[in-house]
Amino acid sequence: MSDVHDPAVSGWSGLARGAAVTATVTAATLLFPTKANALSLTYASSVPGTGDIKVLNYALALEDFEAALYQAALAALPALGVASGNAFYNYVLEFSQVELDHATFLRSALTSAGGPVISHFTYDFSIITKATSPRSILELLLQVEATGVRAYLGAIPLFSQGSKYLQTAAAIQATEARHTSILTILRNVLYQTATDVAPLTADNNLTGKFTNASFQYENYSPTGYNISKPNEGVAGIDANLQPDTVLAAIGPFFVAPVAT
Amino acid sequence: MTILFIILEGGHYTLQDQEQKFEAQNYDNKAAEAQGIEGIMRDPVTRREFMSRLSAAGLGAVAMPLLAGCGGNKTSSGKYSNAAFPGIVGRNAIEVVLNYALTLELAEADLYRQSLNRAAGRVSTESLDTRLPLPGQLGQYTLTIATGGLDSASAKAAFLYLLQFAYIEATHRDFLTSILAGLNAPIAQANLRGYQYPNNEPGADLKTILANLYPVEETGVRAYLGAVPALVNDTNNHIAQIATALYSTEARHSATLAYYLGKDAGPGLGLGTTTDLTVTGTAYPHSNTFEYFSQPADVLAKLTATYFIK
Repeated sequence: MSDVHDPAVSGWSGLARGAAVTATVTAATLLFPTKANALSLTYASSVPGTGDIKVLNYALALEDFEAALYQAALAALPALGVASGNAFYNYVLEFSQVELDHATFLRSALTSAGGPVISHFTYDFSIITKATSPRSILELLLQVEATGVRAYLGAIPLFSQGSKYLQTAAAIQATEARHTSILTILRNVLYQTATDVAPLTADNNLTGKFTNASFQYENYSPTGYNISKPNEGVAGIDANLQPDTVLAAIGPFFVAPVAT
Repeated sequence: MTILFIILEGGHYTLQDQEQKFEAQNYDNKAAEAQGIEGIMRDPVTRREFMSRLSAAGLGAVAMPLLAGCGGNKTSSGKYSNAAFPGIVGRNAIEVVLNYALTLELAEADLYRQSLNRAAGRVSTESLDTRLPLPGQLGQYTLTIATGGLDSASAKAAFLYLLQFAYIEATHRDFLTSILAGLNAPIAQANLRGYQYPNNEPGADLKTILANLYPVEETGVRAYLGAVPALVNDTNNHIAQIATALYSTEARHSATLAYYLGKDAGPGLGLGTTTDLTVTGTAYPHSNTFEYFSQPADVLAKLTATYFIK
């Protein structure tokens, strides 16, 4: 069955086509649309603060983006025939609320911690507003959520060791994982794709390799499984992404910081 | 409104007897509820008012950031002691947490194996087939049990996920074992007499099988999150990263089961078998904003009582 896809939206190239959101994840397989003259966001220069505050600002940047993306999706879907009462719409509504909660919470937390706090941004969601099919909206939401799952995992080592924020960050992270699985199921149901809802064994990319010698583990081969290399995605766990990879992927949607 | 009821209770919301009430809420109710709160949260004026009303009600915890949650079994120095993980081996915090996770995965892997066997018409004692299925394939398994009301497309999808999750949990078990082996750590063993569902029945149809797996997954999610603060001397938070990566997939599994059960994707209160604790101290601002966690002693007590053959 051929993919349904929208004609290119002016200024953008490609559409989010998260073909395998649980497969080996590298920067190259992050299937985000790209845009000429996009803002270049990096962890070092675009995220304020240091240490734990910086990591929280990174999370806030993601959550603000996700919250705004979901609002754009909610606004655009009804005209495409997906409105309240429709299962896809209802999930988008529910998840939009959760992402807004996350953003509100993180902003409040950073403010109470004395900041600095990353500014709000304006975004280019023309891919959403000009979508001619609900599928392209679903694809983008799915890709963003799948990226959020891995972004949080990649951020964990950036927190101070044993940071008090780890449990809270993890408490947010798994909600993104739930969203990802639900959106994957919806996509499978609505568009007859066959995407895994969770990482399979031998199917993900552990980028956080252990370097401490005492943590090295050998080619453990439980009966019946043929594991050829350690750390090569054998564990059936979610992968992680570095902040700069994530920021480069979502940067094209960011237009400008909102002056406070 | 239910959410205000939860918040006004204050403190930790333990939900054993509320579980039925929560589960009775179908998705439409939740969506309607969400619209009300959503309206408040979207409008900056009413949101500020909402926050200050909560603060005025003495629930400053809701407006305050990043409380350390409910503390739990921390010693006065703020570190977890092994006493917080009764019966779990390990020479230090990292080994104890890994073995705690392994204890859970040992149970989960076996329960999934039994559930898969039940759904595929195999005897309960059969091992998980070592011929790993290709992605999207069923390998050596066929769905033979009645669907329990699932339509045929859903049953087919759900059975595939059940199969995949069975292999994944086994892999988690093996992965954790390999890490501990690499540390030359003591390694948790499976319960001597094994595991079984209540009445030794994983479920008489596919939907019931999924329903009986759901609390297993949810408990696993809450267990992992509850163990995070126990990790000390965790260089670069690597073990925390691994644990979170594991728990992330448990959350995916739980959401998937929930979908086919017609439940909300979660997280939600009272859906596990142990007390639900929140990182902020309340179900803020909605019940599905943050994952819930449980204390290790609670989890282990419930796990052994429910599934361990004595």
